[in-house]
Amino acid sequence: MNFPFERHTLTNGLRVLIQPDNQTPMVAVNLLYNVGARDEDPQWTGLAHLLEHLMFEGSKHIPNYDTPLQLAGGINNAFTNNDFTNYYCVLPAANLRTALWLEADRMCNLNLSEEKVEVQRKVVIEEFRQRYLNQPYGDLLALSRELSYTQHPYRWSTIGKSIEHIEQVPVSVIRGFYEQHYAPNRCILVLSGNLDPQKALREVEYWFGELPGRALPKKPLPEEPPQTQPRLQQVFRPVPEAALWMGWPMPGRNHPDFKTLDLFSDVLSGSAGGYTMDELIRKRGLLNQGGFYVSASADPGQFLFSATLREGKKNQAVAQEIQAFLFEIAEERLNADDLHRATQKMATSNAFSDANVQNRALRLATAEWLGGAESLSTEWNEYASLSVDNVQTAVHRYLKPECSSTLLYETETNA
Amino acid sequence: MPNPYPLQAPAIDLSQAPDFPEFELLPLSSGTSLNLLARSQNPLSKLSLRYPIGIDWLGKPFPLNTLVQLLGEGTKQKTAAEWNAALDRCGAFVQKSANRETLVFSLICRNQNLAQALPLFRELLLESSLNKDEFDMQKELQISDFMQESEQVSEQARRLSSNYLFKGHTLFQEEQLSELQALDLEQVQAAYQTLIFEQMPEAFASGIEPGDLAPLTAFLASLPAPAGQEPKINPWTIPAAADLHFAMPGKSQQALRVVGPAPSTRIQEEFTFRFMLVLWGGYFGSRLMKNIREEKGYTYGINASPMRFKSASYWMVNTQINGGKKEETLAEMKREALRLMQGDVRAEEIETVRNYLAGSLARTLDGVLNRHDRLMGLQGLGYPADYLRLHHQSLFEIGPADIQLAAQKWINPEHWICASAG
Repeated sequence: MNFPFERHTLTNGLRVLIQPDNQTPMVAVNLLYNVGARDEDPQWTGLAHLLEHLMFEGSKHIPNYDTPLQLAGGINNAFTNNDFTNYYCVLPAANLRTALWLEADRMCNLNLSEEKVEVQRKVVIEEFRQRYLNQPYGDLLALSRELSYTQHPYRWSTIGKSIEHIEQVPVSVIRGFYEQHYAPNRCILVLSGNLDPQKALREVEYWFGELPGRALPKKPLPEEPPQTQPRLQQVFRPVPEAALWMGWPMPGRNHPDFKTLDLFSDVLSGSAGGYTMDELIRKRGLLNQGGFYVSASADPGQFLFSATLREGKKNQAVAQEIQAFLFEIAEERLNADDLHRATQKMATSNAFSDANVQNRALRLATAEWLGGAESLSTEWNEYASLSVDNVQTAVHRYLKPECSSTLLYETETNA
Repeated sequence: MPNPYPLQAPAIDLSQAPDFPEFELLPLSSGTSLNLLARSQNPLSKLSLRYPIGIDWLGKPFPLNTLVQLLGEGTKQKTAAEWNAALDRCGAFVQKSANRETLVFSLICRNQNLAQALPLFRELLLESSLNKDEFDMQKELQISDFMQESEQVSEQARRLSSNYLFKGHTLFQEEQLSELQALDLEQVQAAYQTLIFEQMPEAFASGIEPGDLAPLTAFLASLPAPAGQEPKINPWTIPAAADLHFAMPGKSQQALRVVGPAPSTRIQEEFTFRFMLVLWGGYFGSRLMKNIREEKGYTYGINASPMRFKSASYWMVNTQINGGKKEETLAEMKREALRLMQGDVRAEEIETVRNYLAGSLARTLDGVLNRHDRLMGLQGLGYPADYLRLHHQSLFEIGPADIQLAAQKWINPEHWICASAG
């Protein structure tokens, strides 16, 4: 990243990153809370995401979050993943104070009324239907997680395991979850845009400085035991084409091998010139679309393959071919030019992301959460220094057939 | 810590009108000009070529859409894998996008790689092989995409409304599919010839280093420069009101798409129309979002947006709703439209929309890529150089009577085309 930033930590534990850019008229205010679906009780999944919705329903001193921000010319949104919950707003730089005023109050003073919870339950249930129940292949993500993880809470999706969890979770449980996880020492605040760093820091201290930190430590999460046997599941669904999903356990984002496997997935599927497109789609005619990617989670995650198959192709046979393909590419075809091309594209993608304040603020927050935003200026060099040997070693260590999970998602006509 | 916490929002400032993106017109030997945006700190270069042909040209999307997919799938010198690998070595991307009236190809890369990437971009445009094998594969993939999308309620509602809107009839899925299946390579090659060799594209570039100007202008000069071509835009008017439904048994939600006409030419009228549309359904605080999502919980989201074209413009509202709530949702949409038509607008609502839109205007100038796209959009629709200033100024002049008139003229439920699927 070409944009320098400052880091400060307030006495209550709030970490603040400030990144000035005088070429934009805007400022982005990004708050990353260290709570995600992995922190949920298995009895009440989907809670972190439901709470994200409720964070827009007003706080103790400000009954409506959205209107003041819109009056300041701003937009806002949020997302929840398995690791964290991220909120952002983008507004004209002159109105930064409005965003800080709003965010500080909802950080510790959320107003959770029964009525608001009931409406947001309905909204989230419609989101559940729209994205997961009413879509072809909509349950593939949930099935694949259940197949991949036996202990770790990554075994359920952010939206939750079932609509019933969202319908029935008591308001007291939602309130307890909020009080446990929302606090300045659980948050990283990033300001990026047209601002004076000193003035911005004074504003942050004014609005957030006396909010209380919370001492409750996060409870340790269950570790996923090593996988030693392949797993296989077959389901039949009313979809036009069969789909294949495969996963292999791999380290979390801070492990040295993460970048190696991430780069390998880019070599395979990060471009129309990659092996997936050229070999599996063009030459072998196995797939209609799909490819390899990594789950990029903080805790140990998965190296993934997901695709729909060409008509007439048998799912189990393709799965075997995919497993062999990984080793064939790594051992026989991978070369330094493949790695060079993937890192060149990565450099452009990063610059593309940094072209607006909102993405830049999110990248800074995520990197800080993972261990330090300074990594954004060094990570590309780490990727560029990886060798064919590094990739081959990682493929042999992690992508073994006995570690694979395979979901054969068949059309009902094949049942 | 402020104690008590201030209940009033901090003072705001939205007085600054955004400037039109700073650019210069660089004359080219072909007789046209390059729209060159001022350089910024960003390390990216972007070059866009906009051709005056869109999917409206043949009245059906397939030859052009297939052509767009095929460009980049092999040239006279390189296989698809070789060409894409060469592009990757430059860390470059090619974006391709088509709408009803135009087709845009953009090259994006880091500044230092532009000179290397330009010859590859030229190869894609002028020397694509369009061979039978690649065509057959792309066609198969497009049919696969079509079948996948056919299972989505939102896509079926889109098809239903588009077919009625642009062809005046409802074209059923089987007919659409057979159109795609009947597509042959000769049609695509003919489209390629017409698009690339008989049209003069408009050129836009940003982030260009001074040393890259010469290779860039040389590249542009090497493109075919036919004279006297008129944009291929078919005359078109919004058809009569209709209520269309595509049954998809077993779906737990319905997709709803409502369409109506929008102003096309006069910018002052468009400013008022946009203001009214945003207030009705165009942002998170809109009437439709508050009523249908935040109060009733019928949907995850509902949005009204303008679709602006040279031939004719329209607006549309999209949502996906609980399967049993279609009639209730439509009734609430109509109720909110009628309230606006009757002049039921509060001053606070107007203030919120005004400020929200003032911020939105500024946001389109955040970052070199947004400024690039903003300039293309403004130039493409022939807007004046003071468009952003005029738009900003208009926000502070629009009042309840203007909104009432705009609602009466443009969102009267009697003229709605309602398409649903599910």
